Amino acid sequence: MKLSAREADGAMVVRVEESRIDAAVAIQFKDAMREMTQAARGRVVLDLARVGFIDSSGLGAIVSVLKFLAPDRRLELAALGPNVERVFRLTRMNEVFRILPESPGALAKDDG
Amino acid sequence: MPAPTDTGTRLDLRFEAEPFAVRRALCRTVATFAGRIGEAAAGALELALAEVLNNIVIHAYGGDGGSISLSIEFRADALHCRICDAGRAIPGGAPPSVGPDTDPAGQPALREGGWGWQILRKLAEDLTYERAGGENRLTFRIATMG
Repeated sequence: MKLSAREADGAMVVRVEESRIDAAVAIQFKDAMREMTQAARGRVVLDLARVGFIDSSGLGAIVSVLKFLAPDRRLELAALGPNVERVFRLTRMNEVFRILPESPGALAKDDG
Repeated sequence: MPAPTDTGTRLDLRFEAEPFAVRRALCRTVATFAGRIGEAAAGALELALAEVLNNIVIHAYGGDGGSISLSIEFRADALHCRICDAGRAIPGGAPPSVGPDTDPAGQPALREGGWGWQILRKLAEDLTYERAGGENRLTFRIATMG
């Protein structure tokens, strides 16, 4: 499971670089997130802009990340497409997570 | 895998009860119907099927593999889905009723699983389950309008 991390707006922003978080990769996603967020302090934003599909296994993995980051670190979600938003809405997990329309810093001009 | 038949309005697939085979079947299904039913209905179809198929992989076959057959027919503003497997019957002989999705304080229950049937019941219409001839047979419809 390929993830990338950067800092923006005082948060660690972790972008999922794959198109699906489904039953085939849910455990790898959880393990990769655990490793990626070891150094995180404070907010962690999961950027789902590149993810087109999440099933309940993937959703469960995201909830488990929320749990293992708590209580010191908070997991937020960003850039949900319509298919991803649907699974959060149907399970009411959209009421549990703070969901940002855009990934932090995603609209910023490139300074380099 | 035998060659699937695919006439555009109907798709019949048979595949192994294994997560990556399920993923391929879902992608094939979406590719077949998305242009006809729109992105929203295709997304609902993919999610509903994923929950059924994951349940078969994990519960009916217990992770040991087996065969799944999937038929989808597009007619009369709905996708008519039928999924068969030769795994264990659903306990109680019926899809589980879905418990409350809130905790006693009225907040959404923060769990890591058990959403499969809840999602399916919210997306699917006329869900039926039958155990016959050593097979589980599940049918439902996904509306493509409204």
